[in-house]
Amino acid sequence: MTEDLARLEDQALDELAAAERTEDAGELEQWRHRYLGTQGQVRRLLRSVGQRSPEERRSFGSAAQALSHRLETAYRQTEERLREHQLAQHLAAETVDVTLPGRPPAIGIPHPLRQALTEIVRAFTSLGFQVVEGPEVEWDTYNFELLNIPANHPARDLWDTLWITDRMLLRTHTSPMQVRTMRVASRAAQAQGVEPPPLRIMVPGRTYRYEQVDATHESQFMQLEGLLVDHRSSFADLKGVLTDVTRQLFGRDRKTRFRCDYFPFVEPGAELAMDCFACGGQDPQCRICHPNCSTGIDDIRLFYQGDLNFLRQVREPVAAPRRWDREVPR
Amino acid sequence: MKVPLSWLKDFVPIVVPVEQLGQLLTSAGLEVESVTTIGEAWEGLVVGKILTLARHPRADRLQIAEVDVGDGSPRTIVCGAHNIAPGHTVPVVLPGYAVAGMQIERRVVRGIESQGMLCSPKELGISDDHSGIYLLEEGPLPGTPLKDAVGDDVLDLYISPNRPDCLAVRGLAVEVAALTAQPAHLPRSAPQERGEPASMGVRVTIVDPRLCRRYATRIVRGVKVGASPQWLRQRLERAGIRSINNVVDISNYVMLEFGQPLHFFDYREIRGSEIIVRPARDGERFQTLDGTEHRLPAGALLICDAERPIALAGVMGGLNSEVSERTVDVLIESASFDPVSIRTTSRSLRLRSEASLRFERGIDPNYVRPAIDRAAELLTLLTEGEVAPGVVDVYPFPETARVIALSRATVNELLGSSYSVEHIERVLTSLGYTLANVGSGAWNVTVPTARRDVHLDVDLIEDVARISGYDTIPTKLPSTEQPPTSSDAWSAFEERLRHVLLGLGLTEVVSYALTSRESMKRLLAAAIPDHSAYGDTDGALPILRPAALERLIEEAVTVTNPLSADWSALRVTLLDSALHTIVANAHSSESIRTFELGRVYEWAGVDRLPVERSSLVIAVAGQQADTSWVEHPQPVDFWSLKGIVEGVFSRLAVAPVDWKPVEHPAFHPGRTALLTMGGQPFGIVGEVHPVVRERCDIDSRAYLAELDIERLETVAQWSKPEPSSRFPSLPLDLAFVVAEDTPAGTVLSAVREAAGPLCQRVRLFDVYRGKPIAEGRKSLAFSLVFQSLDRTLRLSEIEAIRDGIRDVLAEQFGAMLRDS
Repeated sequence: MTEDLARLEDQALDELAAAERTEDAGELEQWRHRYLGTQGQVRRLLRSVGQRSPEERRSFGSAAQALSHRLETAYRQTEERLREHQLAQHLAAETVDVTLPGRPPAIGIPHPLRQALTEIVRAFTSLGFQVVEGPEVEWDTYNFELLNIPANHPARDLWDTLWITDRMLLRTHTSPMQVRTMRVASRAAQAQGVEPPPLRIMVPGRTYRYEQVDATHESQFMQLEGLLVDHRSSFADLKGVLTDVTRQLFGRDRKTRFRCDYFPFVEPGAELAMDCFACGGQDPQCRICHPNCSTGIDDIRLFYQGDLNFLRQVREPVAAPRRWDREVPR
Repeated sequence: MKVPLSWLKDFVPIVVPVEQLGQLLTSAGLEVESVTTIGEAWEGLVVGKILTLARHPRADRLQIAEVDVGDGSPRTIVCGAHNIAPGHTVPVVLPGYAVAGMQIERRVVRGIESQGMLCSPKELGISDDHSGIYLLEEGPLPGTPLKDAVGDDVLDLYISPNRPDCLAVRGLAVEVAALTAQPAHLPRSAPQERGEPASMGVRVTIVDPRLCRRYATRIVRGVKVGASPQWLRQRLERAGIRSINNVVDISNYVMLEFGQPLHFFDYREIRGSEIIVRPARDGERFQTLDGTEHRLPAGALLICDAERPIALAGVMGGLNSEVSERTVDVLIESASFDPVSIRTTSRSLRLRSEASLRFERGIDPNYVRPAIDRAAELLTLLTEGEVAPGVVDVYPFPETARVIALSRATVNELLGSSYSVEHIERVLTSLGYTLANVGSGAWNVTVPTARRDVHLDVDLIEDVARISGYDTIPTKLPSTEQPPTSSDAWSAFEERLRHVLLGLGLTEVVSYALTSRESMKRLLAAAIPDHSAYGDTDGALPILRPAALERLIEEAVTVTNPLSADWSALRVTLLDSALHTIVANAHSSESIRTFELGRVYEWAGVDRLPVERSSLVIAVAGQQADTSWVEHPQPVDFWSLKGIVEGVFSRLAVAPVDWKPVEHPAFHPGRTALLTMGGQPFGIVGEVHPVVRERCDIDSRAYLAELDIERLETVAQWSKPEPSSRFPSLPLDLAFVVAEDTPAGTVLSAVREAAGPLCQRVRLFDVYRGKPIAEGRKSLAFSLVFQSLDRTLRLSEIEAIRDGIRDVLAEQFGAMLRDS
């Protein structure tokens, strides 16, 4: 009796191994049908337990049950192995050459000039400066005269100018907005009968010069300038703000150096130099506006005004951005 | 301005190395652009003295010199030059050393061993002169290294327009003295005078003292015009001025020393013993010493004798009174002219000289006398001239020194510094200011008249700061209260828009705002018969006003002095810039996807500034992507661009936007849409007109959009995240057959509206023509998704909605719902 069971088990396991070798899920299924199916041999064997003598029933029954379990387990394991094997084969067939180049994506690249301007604006913003914008076509009055540069002043040689009419020009710097902002502020204050407010503004934008274009000169370029007006601000604040902005932009370790420079509308005038990380050495000639230092912004300026007796009574911000007066200045 | 260090040493001891001096001057605002060392390469060159000179026995053109080089054993040197004689001091290269790239060794020249070489100025690198041996002045002993005898350092300085006093060696010496805490020594000349007084020989009249503040003359008789001595030639050449003759050289020398330009007349050419300084008459003609005849502008200032003009004041002398080889008596002019008059004249005649440069920046009228005295002194010393006694000096309104009140507190408040009273006094005194105490730490400061740039206390404070060094001022962040700031909506919006566009895979472009009318006119390809589609264009971007576009381009803001014709007018539309971008990139990029945020400019007449408005252009051209081995990308089309534009609107939550087919001069008539919101146009999107492409040399189809972003800014919202539902969503696909000419967008809007609030999304996913759809009709397929935030939807609800859509579309478009 038990020999029959053993023979059946051997035969079943041999056939299972054979089915596995075919790597065909159908063969495996047929094997399951043959042995473990409702009409399969193991089922039939189990069903035949009832026909045995009572003394045989117990031992035969449990042996048959055990056989059934072993074959079930063997089937499951085989099936699992086959599935893994087939998946591995399937994946192997899908191998690609990962060294081939990828599909070119559409990449949006920011313009370095605008990007640099954005970063500088962010640095000044963190120190409380507010962006104001002004017209690029300006009156001579704002671009020169009210900045201490009357007609026929030799300082006009510093700004070779592109003219529109005899009193209208393409602004040579962003400084006209100093005058415009301070005028707006003081007129507003006057109208309200209070002292003009303190100011921290920055003016980014295009400026124009009559200059032949070459590697280091452009006739149209970006400038950013800051203006700090408060009744207790000093040159030390200007140094502090510019040093802080330089370090925000170029790193904590940057060393800055200030030296005297001439702008007709500021006293004292200064130029900022910093050691250059791009040039590798400590090159004091490399200014913040050095074209090789990747900013592309030709001129970053900060002005301050400390001797106006300003009080902080007007709580509204001063210049409305982008709403400038287009009339002939009075 | 080039300044030899040796010249500076006449007036101030130089106690720091030249590099350090350069840094000190630069940080004080006198930028040293370069330092040239003369004699840097003169290793092994010494001073020699010629003892004897003999003809070479076997070569007519060679001489044999015995030269003392200081070591007791004179050298024999074979030499081809003929300007030498026994007793001359000359530069000698000893064997084993090199000069001008030539290695010098002992060598036998036609039987005589030469033990070195004598050098020409050219071989020394001093000048181009190769006509003979460089002859040194007497003085340096034989054997002295040549570098010590005639070497020098030349500082090349950029002097900003506010410091005419530093366009002079003496002025710079004062700065150097202050920066290095050394005394400046500025001697005054007192020439020996002889003969008939100057006042007997000339009378001076100033017609308009506003144009000429001071006019002084001296007469020097019996000058011998000839070559200048070595030292004078050398100083001038090192300062960048060519030596002419002793008389001309002296006038240049004094100008460089004092900053005061002089003019020398041939006294015998001055008629009537008279000098009259008067404005030119309108259109008056005058021949300057360069031989050019000029028609003088109004306001030019002339120096005349009794009969005729003899010089253009401060700019150039006249041919008729020029000093020449034959000149015997000289009349020296030292004067102070009005800067504006000189500047206007020299600019309008394009005659700019060292003299006019100094006059137009402003000269101290009080330098007139010391300078003329120095010139007279040099003329007696170097030309054997006799100085007539006295100066004829007309100076009707003498310059008075300014006095400015200053206090230590003001200095330190403005600078944030803590300079002491003594420090401030020391700095200002060293710069030539006179300080009168008016209390503790308070002064009345008298400004030297040479400092034309100092008017206010802040100017004095700058002097204190720059001489002390800006490094001595602390660096701190503002401690005052921060002023209130507004949210500054505009720059925030522009930044956000940039990020949206970059995120859509577009590359940012910044192009020139200057272009030309011709370039912009290329956009006018087609005439538009009917402009009514554009509706109310008041205040719209110029590109959205096709009826006015040609005029707007014609009237574009124009530069009167353009750098080139290509950069002569400000752009009225960014489309022009975008076309330039496409052309510039067509050959290097297969796929062009760019945007530019920039201003456009509209002329508003001479009495108002132009209207400047922010605009956005998007350009796509070429292929949808760069070519790859994976697949060949399709060329871009209208929908490539429209997808991007819709992406912008979606990210900015701008809705609803109407896309209306229009014709436009720059665009393909069948592939252009006008964008409107609330009936007002704010953008145009389309394919570039083939004629425009042809004019621009663009081969492939190109698509451009220009949008009024100031308008967008007013309606854009920060898109809020949609609340998500935890109930299941139900999809519904519907296809309708409509007439071919029914705009799909209209059908889409109708579907969206009829689907009601439960519909989360509608997408048009297919357009089909052909069997079984009848000729002249098309099938539009929509995919809808329904979902409720608060419950599970029933199928019957969706069916009811579907029937509603079907009925609406049947009514509006005669649409037939296709069986799915």
